Amino acid sequence: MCPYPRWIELTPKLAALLGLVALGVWLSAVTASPIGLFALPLTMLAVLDLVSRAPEARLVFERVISPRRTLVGEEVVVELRVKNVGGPIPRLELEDRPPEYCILTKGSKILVCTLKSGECVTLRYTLNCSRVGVYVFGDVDNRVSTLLGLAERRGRAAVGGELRVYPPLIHRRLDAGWVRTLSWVGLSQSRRAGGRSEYLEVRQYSAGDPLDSVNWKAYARTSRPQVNVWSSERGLDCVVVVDMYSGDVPMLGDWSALNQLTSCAYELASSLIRGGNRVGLVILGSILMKIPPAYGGRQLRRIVEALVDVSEGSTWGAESVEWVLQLFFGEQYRERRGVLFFVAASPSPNLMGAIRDLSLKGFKTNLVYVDTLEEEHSELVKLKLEKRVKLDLGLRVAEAEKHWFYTEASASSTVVEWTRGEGFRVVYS
Amino acid sequence: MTKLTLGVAAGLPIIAALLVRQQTTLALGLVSISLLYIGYATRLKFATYASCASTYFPLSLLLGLFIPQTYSYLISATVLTVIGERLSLEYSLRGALMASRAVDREAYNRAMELSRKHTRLLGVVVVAVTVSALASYFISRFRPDALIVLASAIGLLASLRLLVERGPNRVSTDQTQADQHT
Repeated sequence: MCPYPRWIELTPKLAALLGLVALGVWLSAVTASPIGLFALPLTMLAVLDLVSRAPEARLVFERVISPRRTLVGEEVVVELRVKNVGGPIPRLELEDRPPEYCILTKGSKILVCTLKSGECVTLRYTLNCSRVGVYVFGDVDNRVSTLLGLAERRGRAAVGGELRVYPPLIHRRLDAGWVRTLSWVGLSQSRRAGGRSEYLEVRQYSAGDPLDSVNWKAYARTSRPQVNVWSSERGLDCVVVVDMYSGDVPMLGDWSALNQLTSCAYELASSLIRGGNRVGLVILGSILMKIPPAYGGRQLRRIVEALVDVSEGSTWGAESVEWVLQLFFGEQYRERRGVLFFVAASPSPNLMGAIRDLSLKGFKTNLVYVDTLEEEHSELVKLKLEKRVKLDLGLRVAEAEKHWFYTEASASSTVVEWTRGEGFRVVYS
Repeated sequence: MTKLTLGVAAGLPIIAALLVRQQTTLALGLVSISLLYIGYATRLKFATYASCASTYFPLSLLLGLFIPQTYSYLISATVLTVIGERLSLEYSLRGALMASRAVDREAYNRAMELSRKHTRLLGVVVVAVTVSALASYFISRFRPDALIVLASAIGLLASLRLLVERGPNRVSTDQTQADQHT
């Protein structure tokens, strides 16, 4: 039983064609001339197309995304397999709908084909995702029609699939050295017993010293056994707060500072973890994401997944940081323990207020500012929204605003600047 | 393939305008070329059909210089119907045909298969029109208006065909099957 009236299957093309046929017949009848003979091939088309068996199709869809996890800028192959388990289809048109911010690099999202009963066809294309995040594939539009397309039935099938896009992980930049230069000492003991962080001096060997601490060169020089002395390692309790409030994340067309923000947060968390610190995470954006402080590579993976899961949004802003710390990071909040790192990409008054308030309450606060001004400027130039002179002037004003923000923030926190390619740079300590 | 069809579609009104030497054919020829370009640039099927419709009268006059007027109308109508239909299909296939074949060779082959089937059907249309014309030629020995009568009869048949109950035409997917179960 067909749930729709029959006429829904007929396309506007057929209506136009029949209109022309009627016009031709009328013209010939009125003028008594053969000028209306253009109607003859059109009637032939209509008859031949509609006389064939009406399309009857049952389609089964399957989507394969390879790989399901990728990095920003890398290509992903998407395959959509369609199997016809019904009768033969003279003409099938499929159109896939990739998620927003996915750029088609190879292939086509449209497939037009004939499909016999039991046959299978695959639509293949490659995408390039420009933003960090979770991309959910959704509907596929399909049209089953007669060969000339005079009658058709449209459908939409939900063929799910998920793609996770991670920030570019450039491991050689993950250097923990810069954390030590800020000379903080954590209060929680590192779980790595006997860990070594910095070389202090050489002293004479005494019984019980481990043999791997012996400085053999000094031993040879002085003819007496000498051992190296290292400072014992103590870890920090670090909470990285990432500001993804939609008003604070610069966006311009397809370009967004979200990639840089997540890359910076990842590098920061990675370097802190590699330095033997306990690292927690709070992300303020479309949802509130919180991860309590912990050590190790597993914690870093948790942090990366959280950075990918959250997108920019206007639900959670910097003003709720204290509330979040009080509620979910009770241990750190009560004892004012550890260090807070605020990762932000724009000079936000709310963020400034949060840093100042928490600093006054005894927290060690640090601002890690993601500088995207140059990239934003080049995007504006590319889009040609304004004249070059105006854009250069705008860049200078933005630079001045950024420096003012640094100066203001430096009164209550350390200011570190992060840029893509150059990494971290301490501006005010 | 598109370029060849486009070349023919663009060449016909130009030749007609040059040989017929009438202001009407010149104007219709220009309109036809403009619509054809719009159709090509925007892949708009309506513009393509309109372009073919604009070429009908000039082409009929052109062919009328060489053959009887009745058959010039019939031939020009057939040629333009085939060209219009062919171009509209090629615009539909553009995604599969223009994409890199290294990525999706299968989609390309499938599109070409559909293209061949479509060509065969258009061939059948041409044959049917030719048979009708020949039949009318013999009937017109007895009655001069036979061709018009034949065209009207076919139009009536087509209308009747639409009124007849058509078979099931459904797209069933996993989702619709689930809906049916619920």
